[in-house]
Amino acid sequence: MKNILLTVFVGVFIFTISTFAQTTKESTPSSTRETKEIQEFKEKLASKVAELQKKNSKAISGIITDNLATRVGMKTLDNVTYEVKIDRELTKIYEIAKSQKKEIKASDLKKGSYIVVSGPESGRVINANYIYVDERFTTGSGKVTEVNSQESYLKILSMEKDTLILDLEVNTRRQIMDAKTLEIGTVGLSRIKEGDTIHYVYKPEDTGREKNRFTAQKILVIPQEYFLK
Amino acid sequence: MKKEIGIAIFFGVLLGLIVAIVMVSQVRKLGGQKAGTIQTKTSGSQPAKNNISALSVIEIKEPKEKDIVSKNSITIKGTTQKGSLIVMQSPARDVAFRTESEIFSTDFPLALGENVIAITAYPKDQKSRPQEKILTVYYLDEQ
Repeated sequence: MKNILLTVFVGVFIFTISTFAQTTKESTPSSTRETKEIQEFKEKLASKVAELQKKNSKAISGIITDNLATRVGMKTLDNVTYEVKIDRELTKIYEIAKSQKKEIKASDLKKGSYIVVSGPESGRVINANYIYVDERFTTGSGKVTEVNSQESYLKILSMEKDTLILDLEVNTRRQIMDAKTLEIGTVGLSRIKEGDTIHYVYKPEDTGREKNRFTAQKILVIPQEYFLK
Repeated sequence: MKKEIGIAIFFGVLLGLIVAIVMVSQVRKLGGQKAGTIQTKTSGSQPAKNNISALSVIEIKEPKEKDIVSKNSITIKGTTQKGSLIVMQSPARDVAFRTESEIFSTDFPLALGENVIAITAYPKDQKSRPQEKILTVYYLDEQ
């Protein structure tokens, strides 16, 4: 008898809960609003997760120190070392040349190459989503201290007070800013004077000459007349 | 016997209703609290973005250092002294202009890969020294 009563009680209890909860959820306007709020909350949560994933994924550049097929050692210009993990299925590897990318293999990554790695990073380990073999450029500015027309080079005192020799070659893009209009045009070596301000871009490659001597990719001269006004 | 079953049904319905009402009200309260928290956080982060700190020679507000973008150009925004000459240089482009107010903004093209952009401000008042900022931005076509 007791068992029958208990069974009836529990059965009615569960049925009432489920029926009431279901009815409340589906029929009243407040439950519709609630569902909408839950949906919005889910969407916000998903967007936050995506944002955090994006935040965690970053790009780090450096020079390859070793390549072990599924793992690449990399050292940044600040001398921080990273382990770059390559997933054969997921990691895409490209070489950039003239603003075009070409897919290459992990075995094509050579020691000494400059790479940009993107992917989630944790504790100096990057799980690479993408690896780009890129060209490394250095930019800077300073004052022209010597113009050598015969050997076609400029001696520069940089903003950091370092002396630099920049060779101007046929491919070097030479530009000057007009002191009045600020327009940028081309310039020959003969128009560049000691005391002019210069902005430059070069590849920091060993030229086999002085340590501080490089081939300029491009220069932009700000004539001293601009500052005399 | 019938009377006892009737009482059991009555109490079952009563207790079921009480539990269901409590459950529904708790879920509603919880949902409201979570949505409220997100709203507060979002609105709380807005003022910091517009907070312009005291002017040094040049400050870059946008983009952030080592930002990754998927377009081949960016808008560089910053603050400097009015009338300063701003020179921006990267392997891709050179730009020079004079600022008409303390805030400047200009579009700048990017090359695929790493873009190291030197941004130099030459103040109008030549007693102030020029200042250079190096901005690194990655244009990565991740497809």
